[in-house]
Amino acid sequence: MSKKPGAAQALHKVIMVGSGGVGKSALTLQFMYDEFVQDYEPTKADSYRKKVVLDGEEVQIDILDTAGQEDYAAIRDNYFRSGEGFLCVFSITEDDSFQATQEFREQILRVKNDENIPFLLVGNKSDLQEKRKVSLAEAQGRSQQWGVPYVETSAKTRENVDKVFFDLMREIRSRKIEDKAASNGRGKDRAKRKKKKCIIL
Amino acid sequence: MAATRHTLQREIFTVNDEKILSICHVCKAYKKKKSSFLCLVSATDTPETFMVYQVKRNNDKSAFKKKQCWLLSDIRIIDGINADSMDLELHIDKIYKWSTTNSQERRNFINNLYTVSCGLPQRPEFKNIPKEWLTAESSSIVSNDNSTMGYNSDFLQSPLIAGEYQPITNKEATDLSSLMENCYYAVSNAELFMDTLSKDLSILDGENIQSVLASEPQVLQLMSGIEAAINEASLVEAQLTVYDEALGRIREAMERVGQKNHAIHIANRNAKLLLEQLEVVITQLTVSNEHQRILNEAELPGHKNELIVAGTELLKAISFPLPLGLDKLSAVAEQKKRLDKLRAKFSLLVARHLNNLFIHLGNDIGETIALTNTTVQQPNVITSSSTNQKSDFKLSTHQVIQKELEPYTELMKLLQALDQKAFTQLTKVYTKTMGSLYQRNFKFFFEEAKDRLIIRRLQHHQHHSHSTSKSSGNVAPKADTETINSSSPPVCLLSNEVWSPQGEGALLDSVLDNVLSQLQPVCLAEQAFCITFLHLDSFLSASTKVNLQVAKDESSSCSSGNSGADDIHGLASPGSTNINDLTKLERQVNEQVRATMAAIFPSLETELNNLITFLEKIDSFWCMYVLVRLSQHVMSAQDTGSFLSMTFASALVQAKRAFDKFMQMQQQSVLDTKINRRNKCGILPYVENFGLFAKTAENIFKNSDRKIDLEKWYTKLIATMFEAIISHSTEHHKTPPEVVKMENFHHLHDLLSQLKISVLDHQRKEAKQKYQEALKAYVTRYFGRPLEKLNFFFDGVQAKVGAGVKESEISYQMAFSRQELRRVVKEYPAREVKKGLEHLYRKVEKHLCEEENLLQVVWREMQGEFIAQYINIEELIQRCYPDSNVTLEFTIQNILEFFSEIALSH
Repeated sequence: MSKKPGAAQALHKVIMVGSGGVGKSALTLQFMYDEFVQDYEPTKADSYRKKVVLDGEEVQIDILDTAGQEDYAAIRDNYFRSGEGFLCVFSITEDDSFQATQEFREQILRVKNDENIPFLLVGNKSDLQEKRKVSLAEAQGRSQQWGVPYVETSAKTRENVDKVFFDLMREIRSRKIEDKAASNGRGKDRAKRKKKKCIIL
Repeated sequence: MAATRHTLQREIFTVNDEKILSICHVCKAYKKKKSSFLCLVSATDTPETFMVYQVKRNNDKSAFKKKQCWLLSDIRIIDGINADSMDLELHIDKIYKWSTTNSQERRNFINNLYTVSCGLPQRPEFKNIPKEWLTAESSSIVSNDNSTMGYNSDFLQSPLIAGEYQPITNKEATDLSSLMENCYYAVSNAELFMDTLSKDLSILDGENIQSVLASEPQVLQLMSGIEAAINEASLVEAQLTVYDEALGRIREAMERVGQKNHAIHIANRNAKLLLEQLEVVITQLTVSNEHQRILNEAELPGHKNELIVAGTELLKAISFPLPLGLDKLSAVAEQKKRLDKLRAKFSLLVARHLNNLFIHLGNDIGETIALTNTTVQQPNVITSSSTNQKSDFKLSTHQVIQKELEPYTELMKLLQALDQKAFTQLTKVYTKTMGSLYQRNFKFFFEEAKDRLIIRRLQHHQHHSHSTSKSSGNVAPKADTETINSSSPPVCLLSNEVWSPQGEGALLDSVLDNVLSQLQPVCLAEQAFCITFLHLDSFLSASTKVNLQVAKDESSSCSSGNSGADDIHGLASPGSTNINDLTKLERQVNEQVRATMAAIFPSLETELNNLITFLEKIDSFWCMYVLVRLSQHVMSAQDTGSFLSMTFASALVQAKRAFDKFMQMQQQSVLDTKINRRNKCGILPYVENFGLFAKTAENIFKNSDRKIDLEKWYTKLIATMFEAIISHSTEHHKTPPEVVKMENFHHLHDLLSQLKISVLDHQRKEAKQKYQEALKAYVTRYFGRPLEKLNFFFDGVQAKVGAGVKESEISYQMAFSRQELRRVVKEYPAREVKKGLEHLYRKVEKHLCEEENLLQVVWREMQGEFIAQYINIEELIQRCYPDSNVTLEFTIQNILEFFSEIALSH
């Protein structure tokens, strides 16, 4: 009963990016399974899928959790390419990770070739205020410069965890609607993606 | 002896200022001739020094001579050998053995040795000497000590010494000193003192003689007085004899009178006792006329209370324990006969009335109940399609009957006591009528429960026409049951492609709960009523006989249930274990109660089982609901040994079996799954379905104490799935086994993480591990493809190095010469590599299914492996062919560009 309509269900592809150890996997696991994993184990890449209700509509979210440490940035190109929206995560307790977001942003824009790609700047570990190295103003300054929202989260306390995923999905959804409206005329890109879907099915 | 002592003292010891305390005549053991004396001696100047001398008589038999001398404190042991022996051993520097000539002397000597040595700091040890020798004397020492004389060697003297030496007493001493004081001149003028004394003496002599002469006439007078007294006494004696004789005669007479008196007393008491006894017997055995009249003429519904009183009287009379022998009296026998007649009348009256009453109640009330049932049922059926679903259907209780019968409880009790046979007959009638009544009730009740389920089901299946179910009456539901039976869906199996919806669980659960919770009060009320009304708690051996037959049947059905419970630990045990605690009697009563209940509710178990089997057709998760609900009822029951609990327990065993069978079917279906024939294998149906399955099951078992059964099955199912995934992975015609494993284990891990079933935590980790292993296996199997020959070449190089060939000498090997290297490298220009990578990407894309979305994960892994390979080969070239100037025809930069290009092209 639920499977056939499920094929028509919207699917939003979210990519987690950011330096190593900022809590991408922790955010993902907290969102997926409501659990907080204490011990740190570097991720290579992992994929998750979940059904959620987004503003009364049942949709699926695909989360690709990626490696923070990567010897060659070009390896990321492929999954950046597959993403429809990005959570760019840094740790508010580590300035380097904040600086690294600049690089990620640039690579994403280059690969997606799209200035308005759905994108959230996420400052994680907000429960560790006493260890804060990146000020709120600093982070907000950068997000304004990029024209993206900035949200502070804590994978440990679950603060804002749902919010960042849902906010991003909303952006992706509205972006898709826009595209559809615009794709009547041009839209090489769209046509291509649709084609790909057909192959899979 | 005393002479010897004196001689010794004088001749030997006085010279040295020494004093003999005790002597003993001894001779060397076994040499009688050589006699000598052992002397215990104290020095006069230093009284604390005691010596023991051996003194010998010289050959001329006149002079004595000291032979040896020891200090008493030097003697270590004084050994008496034994009490009767004459021997004496002294352990000093060596052992001296003597035998004494006189045992009394020996005893005294030892005694003195002991007494003297008591005061010594270092005393000899006395061995083999009778205690009383040592203690008797020492106690006399203590008493002597009290008399302030202090320590003086004189008092030690044994009887031997005592005869010749007498110290003056205190009194004499004071007398003497006062005398001396009066004659102060005595010292200066002894002659005068002597004169005075002799003068005094002669005066005293004279006076003495005079007084002797004066007392003669007085003695004579005394003699005559005594004579007179004797005469008087003999007179009195004669008189007394006379009196005594007289008294003797009187006593005889008195005795005779006393005996007579006693006999009269006994006769009196016997008569009284007899009278009392008779009175008791008569009063006890008589039933008053009024009561007799009641017993003869009473009619039941009206004269209930009077009859009870009369019956009680009758029972009292009949059961009165007659004293032994009295029952032989013909009057008593006659009275007994009369009482028996009364009893027969009573039991006939009561039994007939109650018998009629039972049957009447069974028929009439049964009818009305059946009527109300159908009337209640009809509207239900008619309005079933609308709103009546929620209203609970009722099991009619027997309160009316029980209320009607309650007043007869006392009569039943009397009947049981008075006429066992009639009572058991009545009990049988009761159980039979009630049994058939309950059977009817249960049938309606369960029929109704089934209807509930069917109606709902019919609503679900809209294609069924409503009109068939609306045709009223009892026949329609049956027809429905059949249609349901034929159209019942197959059990939901994990292997099914599509998971069928589960909507009816709640209804099923509520119907079941309703049935169970209604059965409980009815059964318990009936049980309580039976116990009081049929007096099952008053344990009577006679009544057990009747119930024995029933009990047998019941216990056999019970035991079959228990044997089934073996594999399901703890299902039927609440009843059986508690029974062990009860005493034997209680158990017997319980058994009796159960047997009666089994006779009253003959159809309960089958009806219950029918219902449970029926549920099976409604919902494929039925067995879970039944297991949870039933076990909750069994566990919450307080009266664990009761009939109802036992019945529930055996039904529970059935339910548990069905549950196990259901889970087994699931397990089997996992193993039997057929792989699809589509292009991609994707997620296997049982992995896909397990999520919903587990969620449904968790929901049903939430808060149930049977959850552990479910958890056992979880682990079994997951273990089966692990096996099945691996065995199924090789069966798909297009998808490689690594991909099947990777995708399915990834999905399973995701499911288990979402479900958070704690017992499966280990399996969750295992699934993750298996997923990662499969991913690695997949990547290693495919990444080599674009550079196959290069890899082959360098695998060989690596092997040679591993076998001990120096890296710098590899190039001299034929197969791995520089030319060979160049040839291989040439085969992979950058263009070729890019083509290979693109081909690989397409292949991976083709293998992986959309749902698991692992393409990016796999591709990232492959990129990493490819780069690692590239670096490895470059390194080997650097090390093994350092000067060859050969490099691969593409660079890392090239590779990264290819990756980017591949990314952009999708």
